[in-house]
Amino acid sequence: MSSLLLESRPVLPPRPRSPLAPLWAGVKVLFTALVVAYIVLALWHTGFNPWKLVEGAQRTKGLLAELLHPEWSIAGQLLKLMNETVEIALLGTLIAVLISFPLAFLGAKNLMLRSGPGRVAYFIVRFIFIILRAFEPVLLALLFVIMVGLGPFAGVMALGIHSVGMLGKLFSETIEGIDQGPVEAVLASGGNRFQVMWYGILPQVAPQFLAFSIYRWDINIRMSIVLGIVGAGGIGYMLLQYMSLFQFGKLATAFLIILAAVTILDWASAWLRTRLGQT
Amino acid sequence: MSAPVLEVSELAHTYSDGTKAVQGVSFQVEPGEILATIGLSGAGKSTILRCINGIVRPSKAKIRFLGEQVRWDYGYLLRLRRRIGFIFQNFNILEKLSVLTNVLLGRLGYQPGWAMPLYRFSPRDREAATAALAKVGLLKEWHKRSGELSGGQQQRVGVARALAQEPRLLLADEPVSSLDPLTADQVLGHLVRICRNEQLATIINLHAVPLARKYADRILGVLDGRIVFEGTPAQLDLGVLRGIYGEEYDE
Repeated sequence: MSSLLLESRPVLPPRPRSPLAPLWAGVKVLFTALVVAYIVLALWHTGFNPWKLVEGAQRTKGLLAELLHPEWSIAGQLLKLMNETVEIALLGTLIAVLISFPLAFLGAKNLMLRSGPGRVAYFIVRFIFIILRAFEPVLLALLFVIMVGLGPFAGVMALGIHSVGMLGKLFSETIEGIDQGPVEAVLASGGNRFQVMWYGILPQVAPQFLAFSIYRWDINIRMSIVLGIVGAGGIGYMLLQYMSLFQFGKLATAFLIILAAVTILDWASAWLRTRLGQT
Repeated sequence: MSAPVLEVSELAHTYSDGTKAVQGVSFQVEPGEILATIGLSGAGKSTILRCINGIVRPSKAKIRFLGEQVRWDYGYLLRLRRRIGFIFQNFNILEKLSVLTNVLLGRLGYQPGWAMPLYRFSPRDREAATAALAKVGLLKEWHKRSGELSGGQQQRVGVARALAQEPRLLLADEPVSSLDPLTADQVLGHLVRICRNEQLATIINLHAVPLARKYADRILGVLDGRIVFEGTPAQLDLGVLRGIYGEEYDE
């Protein structure tokens, strides 16, 4: 037992050093140098030049001024399209939630890694999630436009499929973080496998699942605007059209409507999610 | 003397990492009997309880429940577990659900499949849950969120959930060791009164020797997965306790 009375000022013993320490220091320096070099290369490749901003603004002063004069006559039509954008995102998210909810249980380590078939299912499901995330929504939208033609349905499918990958991963990780106690309690009172999921796990994860879904809807609204540019419905397509026809007044109207809608929905989704956090 | 509810013989369990948690224990419990097991943490007390209701599948055992040989197939285990109540050290209740719903979880073994998705329970199940709530004195709190309750109340929800099963055997794993001493004594005393009243066979793992002395009819001392003492609270003297807890044990 060490004495509780300190006779001298205590000093921290030296940190144990591994014999490979100098090697690691070298690797750190090399890695930092590589990162810096890549940043410089990127600046060069992208023609990064802030001066161009000033120059460009002066050259197109007239055109930019038109942006300050939105044409409100087309606001009604644009609002309808904005609504379509929100609906595309809503349906896309809903499809994704319905598909990823059951898959998430199959993609949760703590449930699946105990048996041989479970392991196989786990790896397949997690692999599907990774593949689906790799398909960027814009790529998927192009594919679906070819399959089902121009229009909002292609957008719904693109967002739905991509979001399965994202939501599935988040849902699975939420399930992996649950408290095992209530699961054991359900088992101990004679609950079967489905009752374990429905009564032992679901109440623990439901608020988070809902919060992730709302957040995903929020993200999908922004994505859906971009998808419109490639022809998958909603307000995005009009942005491209007004740009190419130099109709900057109309473009300004579209900008303002998008800005307002996204801000309001962003705020609403954050409010909803904090409410969920409190309960 | 009535027939034992549970007869355990030669129970042994070795975990997959090689830990020999239980090395051949035999005992039995009769209706209305409170059997306490005492011993150091890691002595194998929890594993013994979890082998009885099949949460852990023992490496070797002969267990008879109500005179019937226990098997370890899925369907049989579900039917076995619904007649064995289990009370946990950490309560293991769902804090987001209401008190009543938590107690109804004790009826899952009786719930028909079609009623599962919507959290529906039969009038019979609700009756059993209500009776259990009344026994633990939480009737007025039935609608509250379980997370809002105090620790002692949360464990009473855990007790009610086990009682709602209308069990023939009650297993309690350190039921009061996460409560303060006063609450612990109250909750345990109440539990023991209910068990005696209903002639319920009960096995309680306990950390605190004084509680075992006060409430048990019979005590098992467990050391390194073996039973090293079996007797009444009166027989539990300092020599015996030093045999269970080591020579440094002092009252």
